Amino acid sequence: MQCRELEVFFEEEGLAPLSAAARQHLSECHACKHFFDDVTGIVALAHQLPAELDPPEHIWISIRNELVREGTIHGLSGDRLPWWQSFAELFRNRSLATAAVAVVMIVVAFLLGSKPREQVLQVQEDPYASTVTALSQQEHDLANMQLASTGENSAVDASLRQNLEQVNEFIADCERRVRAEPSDELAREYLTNAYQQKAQLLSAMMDRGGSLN
Amino acid sequence: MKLSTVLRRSAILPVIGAGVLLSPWMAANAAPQRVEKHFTVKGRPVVVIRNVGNGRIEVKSWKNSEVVVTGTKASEKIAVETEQAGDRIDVTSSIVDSTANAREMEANFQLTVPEETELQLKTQTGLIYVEQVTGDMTLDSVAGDVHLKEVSGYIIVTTTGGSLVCTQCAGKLEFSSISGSAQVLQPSLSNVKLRTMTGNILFDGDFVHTGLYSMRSGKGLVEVRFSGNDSFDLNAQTATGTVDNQAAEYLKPDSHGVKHMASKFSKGLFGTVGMGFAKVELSSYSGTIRILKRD
Amino acid sequence: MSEADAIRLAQAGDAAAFEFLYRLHGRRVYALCLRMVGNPSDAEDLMQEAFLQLFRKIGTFRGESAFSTWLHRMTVNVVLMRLRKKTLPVASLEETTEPDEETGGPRKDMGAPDLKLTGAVDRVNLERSIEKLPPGYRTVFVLHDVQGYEHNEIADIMGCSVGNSKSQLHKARTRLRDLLQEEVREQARNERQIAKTQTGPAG
Repeated sequence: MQCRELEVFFEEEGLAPLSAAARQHLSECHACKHFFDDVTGIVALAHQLPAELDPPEHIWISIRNELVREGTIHGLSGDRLPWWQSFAELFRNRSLATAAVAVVMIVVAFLLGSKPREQVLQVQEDPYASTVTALSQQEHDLANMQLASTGENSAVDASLRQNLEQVNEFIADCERRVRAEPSDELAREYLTNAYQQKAQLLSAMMDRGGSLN
Repeated sequence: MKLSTVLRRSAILPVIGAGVLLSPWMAANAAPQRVEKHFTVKGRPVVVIRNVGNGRIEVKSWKNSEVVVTGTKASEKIAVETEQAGDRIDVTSSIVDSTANAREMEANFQLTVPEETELQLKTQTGLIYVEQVTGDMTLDSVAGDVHLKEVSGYIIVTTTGGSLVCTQCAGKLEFSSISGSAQVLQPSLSNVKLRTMTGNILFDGDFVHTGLYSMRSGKGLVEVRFSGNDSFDLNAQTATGTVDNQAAEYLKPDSHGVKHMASKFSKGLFGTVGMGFAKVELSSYSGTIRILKRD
Repeated sequence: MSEADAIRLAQAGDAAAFEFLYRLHGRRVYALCLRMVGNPSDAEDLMQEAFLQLFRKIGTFRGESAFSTWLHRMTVNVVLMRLRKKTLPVASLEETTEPDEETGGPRKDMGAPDLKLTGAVDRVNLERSIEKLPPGYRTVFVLHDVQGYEHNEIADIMGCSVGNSKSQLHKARTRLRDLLQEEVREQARNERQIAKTQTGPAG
């Protein structure tokens, strides 16, 4: 068997099992043996890579909301909900709050992207309104929830509250900028990300309150 | 047995003779208790620590096929459980008495793991420290810092206020925080994504060819230091902050012939160092972006 | 609930059935998307797009192939379409590599005796190199060597022949070997550079 024939063998039959002729050639040809060892090692390493990975939970939430909106899914809490009302349901489960805001982000981005330029100024006030409402509701729920009452343990809670204040300050800054310069895309991008981070922070605070109580 | 069949079966977590070991640690007295547990593993283990209390998590490696977990808990108001299923080890702390104060809720962990280990660590205020481990890592802390030294893999760090110091790390790094800062020193990272709202970012290291580096801060400083051997395309923008270009003599117009312009609402700095092999994107909403060549 | 029941109920719009199918197949689909595009953000988008397409068209599924094959076919199409929009030049499944040697001698990329890979490659190197493969090669390699599909299943998913799948896999492995050799050389160069910097100039 020549090197070229071995290559054809690998192409048609793979790396295992080797024919007698292939084995013979590999015992004689260092170059082909190098190749075979290298590729066998690569395949063995590839087999160690996980074939399944856990996707983030918010993907299912987004898919479900979209299918509900389209009417593809029925049988959700009895009646079909208009898409904006599905957020009230999501916030009952605090750990889905982040996903709810993420969906709002998608809708906001879609609205801003699809409107003709001259209408952008008119809708600037609207796209973030439902996001702000959702986040305010979440903050209100958090304030009502009884957090860990022990003395110094609130070092963590104090850190979380301090970070929440910083987030709110930053959001206020970005909102002022976006109101003053509605076409500033960089500012809008930062504002969108800030809302998302706030939603994640509020979720973490609510989860912590639940786990400690 | 065909390779594909072996691979399909390996998608299911193997439980090879190890079974499940469940052992709660409940102290008989109130003094700090130290317990050491040994877990034999066969392949690349996955170690998961969920520390709902306060405390450090330190991880170092060795060449043995064994995971050693040493835990020190401050009181009996906090319980720690360990569980092994195959090559996965779970360590979970929980509050058993809600009147516990911060000191009583403390649980510190020291781990020695095989050099190739996957880590999922979560704590509240203590430091997370990992040294010389290769594997995917997901590290979560609220207020505690994360220090990594000579680690390699797909590294994801999330904090609320804790800062990251990453020294001589390789692979991919993602960092996300609200007020924490990030320092990345002497890296061999090919993919970097650093995000902080009010913290600072310092990247002092080399840019791997074809690497992607994205660093963004809301209010903080974003500083990049490069060497004479580096080669990258730079795209830096800030809305209301400033751009401090201390490398003007090294920054040429984009080598790929792309004409960049910042929008009228932002300030930008675009150009190429060397041949423009890597891609570097820097952004700060209201802070300073600084770029300089290391001496 | 069995998969067949879930499909039937999902075709009637049942929410729980959709979720059952998502939970059953989602992890595999996500792994495929992530390996193909290399970053979680794009992988999440693609996974969402793939499942949305699947669920919108579920009424047309008649059981001619396995449901998972149908799902993976849709996923691969979604991923490849996205990659083709982003990358130049377009790499089709029929793409050939270097021109075949005319002589009977070894191909120039077999052997490469200047560097032995065994022991020098780790998962990080490998994943980085997989991302650099052309999309067609990457798909076949991930489906076969990472996710464990047989060639007849890959042929069904990709819409090609079994022979083509085998040929593409061999080419993918060969290209991967070249990429990894370059990675290892680059690392060695960097290490030599660092060592030189640390020792400083002589004298």
